[in-house]
Amino acid sequence: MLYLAMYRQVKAVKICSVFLCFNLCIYSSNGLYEFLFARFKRRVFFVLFFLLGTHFSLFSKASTQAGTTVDSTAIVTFDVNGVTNTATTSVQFLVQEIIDVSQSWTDANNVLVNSPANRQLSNFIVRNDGNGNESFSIRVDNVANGIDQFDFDLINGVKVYLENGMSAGFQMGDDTLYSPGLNDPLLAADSMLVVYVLADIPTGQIISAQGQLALTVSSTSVDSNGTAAAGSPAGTTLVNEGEGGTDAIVGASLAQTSEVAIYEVSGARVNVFKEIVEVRDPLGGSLYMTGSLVTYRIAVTGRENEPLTIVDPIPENTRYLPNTITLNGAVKTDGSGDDEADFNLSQPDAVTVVFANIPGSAANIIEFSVTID
Amino acid sequence: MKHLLKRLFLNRHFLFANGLLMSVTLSVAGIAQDKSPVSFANKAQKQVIIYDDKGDKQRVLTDAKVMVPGDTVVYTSTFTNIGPVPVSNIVVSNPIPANTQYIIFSAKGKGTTVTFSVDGGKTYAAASELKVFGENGQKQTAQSKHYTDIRWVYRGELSSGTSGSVSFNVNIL
Repeated sequence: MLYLAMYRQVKAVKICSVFLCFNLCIYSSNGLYEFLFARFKRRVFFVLFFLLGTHFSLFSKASTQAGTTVDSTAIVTFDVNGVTNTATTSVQFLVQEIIDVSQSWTDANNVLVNSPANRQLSNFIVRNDGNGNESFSIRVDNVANGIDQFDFDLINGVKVYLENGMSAGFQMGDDTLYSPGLNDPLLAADSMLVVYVLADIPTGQIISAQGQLALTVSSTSVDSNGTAAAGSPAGTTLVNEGEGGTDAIVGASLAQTSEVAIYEVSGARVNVFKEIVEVRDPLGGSLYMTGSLVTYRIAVTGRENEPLTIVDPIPENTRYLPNTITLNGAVKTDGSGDDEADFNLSQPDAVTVVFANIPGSAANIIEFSVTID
Repeated sequence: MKHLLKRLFLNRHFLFANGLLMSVTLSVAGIAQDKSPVSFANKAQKQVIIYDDKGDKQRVLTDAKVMVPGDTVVYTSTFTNIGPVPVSNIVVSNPIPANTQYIIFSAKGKGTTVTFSVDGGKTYAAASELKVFGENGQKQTAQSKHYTDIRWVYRGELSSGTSGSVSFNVNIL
């Protein structure tokens, strides 16, 4: 039986806890082999605070609620012809609603992911910094190419969840899937909401490639004149859109906020694809029989610029045909130390190819031949 | 020249803003309103800071309708002697409105002596003499956030046909 083993040379890594996990997956239909190699970095995140509820006040003293009447009464006393008189005068105004919102991306570091990977979590906190209840819509966008290296499938590969306040942290099936326009969150003045983004990481991304997702939170207020709060200049008045019969005023945030979460490819995925490219039997045909020559091709696609060693033991009932190793079409010797490849020296009865620094993009093609006993 | 024009514009703006009084109510105790020798009115205006084309700060008073937390409100009370004889011992007092905080040094009034209260108007004193109990239980000089009332004592008499005014600024909390 054929089998393929792969080893990974691990560089000295950071002192912080890193462990390696080999996740081996073999399937042999059509002689194809694929080995998955995954590395997971374990990091300790210091969680600054956990949120027990969906909303709670950020500030020790909340700002004056929209719709509050502020009343000022002045009193004057004076003497006329020795008689004391008193007069009072009052002025009132209603505190109008100011629409302001802010947001934080709360992951302590870049979100480390594999490529591909599904439902990778990033965390945000949205705060209603205004003084009235306000409904907000949430939108997720890719950032411009050049700032990052890959985009997300916004339609099928990114979902937004709203913390439902039952228990801190994201729970699938517990927290609320957000649908724009259908369940836009309504936040009380000076309250906050935890928002989760689950993003699928596209395939084929090299180590350290980054994908950034921008979460934009916008007030949904629009007045009868069609003036939308979000994006309007600070000070714009939305007639009758405030709490308690007031107008709503666009604050310094322009009633919307955008923050970016950074996903970074960290785990390695190395594809190894092995196939038989030629069978030549002694009779000039292509049958597997004693004496047949079988040529294997192993395509190694690295996802990282790190050392990688491929070890392919010669299958039972076959023997290696000397001086048949090629790497990307170039002949390699069976000896060790003179090039990347050797036979029966690094590992017994095996072809070993050592990549000091595997290129990240194109497949590396190893070929060698055996004969059937 | 440009600067002067700008100032002229600002003055016009100021006058315009002054014309926009908020819901002012007038009530007089002790003397029927139509016979009161003193007319008394107050107004609340929003103070906006703008920068002129020289980059200089300008304070402009505007219609108070769009007050929101963080805004500065300027309260002005005006008293006018509309009677035939002088009026004396004029004292204006004004509690700091709820949901606002007095802005230090903002209380003004030509010809008046300004004092403050930290006990809801029971007693008044100069700012430097007002004491409150700090968190450590020790007495300390009161800060503007402790003030509850302002009082202006008009020095001298207000002759017939003349007026005076007092003002103070607050921030909406």
